Amino acid sequence: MGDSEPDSHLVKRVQKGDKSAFDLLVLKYQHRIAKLVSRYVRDPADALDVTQETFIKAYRALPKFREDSAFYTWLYRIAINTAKNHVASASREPTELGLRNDDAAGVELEEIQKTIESPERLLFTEEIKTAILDAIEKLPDPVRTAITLREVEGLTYDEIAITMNCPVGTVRSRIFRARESIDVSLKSLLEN
Amino acid sequence: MGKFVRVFTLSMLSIAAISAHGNDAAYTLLQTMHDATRRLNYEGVVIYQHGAKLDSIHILHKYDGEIERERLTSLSGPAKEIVRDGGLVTVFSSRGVGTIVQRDAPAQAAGVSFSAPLEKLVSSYNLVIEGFDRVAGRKATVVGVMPARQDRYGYKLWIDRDSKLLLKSMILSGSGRPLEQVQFTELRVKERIAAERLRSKMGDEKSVPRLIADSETRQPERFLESSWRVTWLPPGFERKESGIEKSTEEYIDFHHLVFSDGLAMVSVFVEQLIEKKRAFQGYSSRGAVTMFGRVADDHQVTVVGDVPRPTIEKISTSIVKIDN
Amino acid sequence: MNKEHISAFMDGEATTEEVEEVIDSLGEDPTLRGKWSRYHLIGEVLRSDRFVTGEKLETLGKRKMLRIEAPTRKAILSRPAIGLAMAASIVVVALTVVLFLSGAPDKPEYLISEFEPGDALDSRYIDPEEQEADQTVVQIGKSESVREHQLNGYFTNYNRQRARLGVPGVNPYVRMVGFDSE
Repeated sequence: MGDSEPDSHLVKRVQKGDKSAFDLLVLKYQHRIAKLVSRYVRDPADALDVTQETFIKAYRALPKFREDSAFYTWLYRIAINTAKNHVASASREPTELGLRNDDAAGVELEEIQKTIESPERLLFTEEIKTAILDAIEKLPDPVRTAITLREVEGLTYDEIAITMNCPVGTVRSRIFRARESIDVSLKSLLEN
Repeated sequence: MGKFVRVFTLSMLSIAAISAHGNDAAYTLLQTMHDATRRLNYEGVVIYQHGAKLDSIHILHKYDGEIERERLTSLSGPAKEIVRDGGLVTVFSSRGVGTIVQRDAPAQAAGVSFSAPLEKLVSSYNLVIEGFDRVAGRKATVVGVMPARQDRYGYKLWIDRDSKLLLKSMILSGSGRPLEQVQFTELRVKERIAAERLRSKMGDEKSVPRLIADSETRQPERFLESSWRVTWLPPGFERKESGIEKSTEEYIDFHHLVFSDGLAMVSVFVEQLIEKKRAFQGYSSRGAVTMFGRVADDHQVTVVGDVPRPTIEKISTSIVKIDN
Repeated sequence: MNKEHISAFMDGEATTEEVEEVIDSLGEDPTLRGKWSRYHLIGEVLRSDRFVTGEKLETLGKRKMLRIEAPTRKAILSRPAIGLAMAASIVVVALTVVLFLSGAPDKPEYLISEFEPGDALDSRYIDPEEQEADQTVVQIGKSESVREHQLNGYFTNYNRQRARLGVPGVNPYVRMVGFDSE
């Protein structure tokens, strides 16, 4: 579907040596992975660590990833296994989360952390949710419909075009308009 | 047409004792009710009682000769509305994004429909015309659909003698206790209903467009064979559906199986379990629907159905995994 | 390259030329990366109507840790996590509100942790086990537990299946309207 294609491109770029492409994958999936992990790992601080470790493991294993499954499915499994291991081991020192302390690993970790932005912390507060939902409400109907069909219903642009009885180009620009409008509110909220 | 058999207690019933004739009359009435429910234009208010809760809902139903349209609006509790236009169901709720479009194609109209052939129902239920009553100021015929065994619930239906619409329905436990009740407190059958009235007041329907039919290609997993099997079912139950679906929230695949005897329905959900502490184990019920969860083989197995607890539990413990 | 290409790329609808261009630009420009990140956040919010959040937390950007100011206030500080020193620019989601069911099924516990990069952390740490549920500190949108949400899911799926398969009985739409959960 539409969603796995960008991942496929990004994965190929990472495999060719483009680290920044991996950052984009992290930015895309950090929320889902953190949310997933936090349902199984009690301690919030540990949950963050496990999330971080998931991405690091994924980064390390990516050269061997061969796309017989979608990237997210693969990442998801890594997250589950990492969470499972964490839960399974009774007494853990916070420092031991499978992150090796050799120099190479340390540099890798640091690099990933550094290159991945952001000072903008993406917090799931009621404020963020409200800002986004309020912004959605203010969108003109066709624009709101387009973004809802895309994000909530997961329809492709072609399907949305048929549904809304308009050209695909219109769908594409409506969805972009929706995102841009909402981003205005979101950005100012996150930067205040 | 013959006389209707009057039955007093469940213990006096036996399949042999019920004449096929009695069953026929009741069944015919139910069929007529099913047609009326689909084909008439009507408006009313129902109260829906489930457990200790009572909700009132406004219902509008319109049929133009081809397509059924309905609008159900909650009159109590949080604002919620369901609008059905043939195969397209839209749910408007006051929380969340505002509109959720359901692309399933429902086969059923508001009300009770009896699509199962008589033989199937008769093997598990006794259909009897029990008498007469009054509901919402209208005269009604009372039909009992009583289980031959205590492994499922019974139904009692009040059918309007004029319009043949379902005025009141009850799902009854083995001891005769109502588990759920839906009853019209007002009902008007109309010549016509203006099309605008079927539009939601909660959202602009123009912005919720008609979707193309849910094609199988979008959810191919639904039709995959699940590797889980139910090895015991109450007599009369058949498997209706089997598949693997993605839960929208958790991105976890869950296997589901659906069984029905034509009237009662049981769903089985199986998902992989990561942390045993988080498993749902035990019972929870809402109205006539009981949910039972247990852990099997590192999986969460949940059975949901409008059948009694012992039946649900027995189905649950019979669930096994098949290795392919 | 314009921002619309990012939007299309996200949805798997960009042309081959646009794809490479977008990935390059995102790699080079942190502002665009921010947009990429926020665009995805919008989608996550839209899809999740079950966002459990803490309403009384400090607003974004104020970068304060939750502190225990009075004995009656029940808040939890995140324990200094590993590698804090190296996590100065940690990207992972800083806030998770986690709901747990305690031993008594009716008594949910709410834990909040807010992790602030670069802040001097208060090293006090409250053992989650010792916390009592206090719904005034944290407002969950609707005080439902993870369990209720899970059960709602099964119930809704059941009713939708019933409608789809045309199995008779109580009108599943009446059930869906009547139960105010979705």
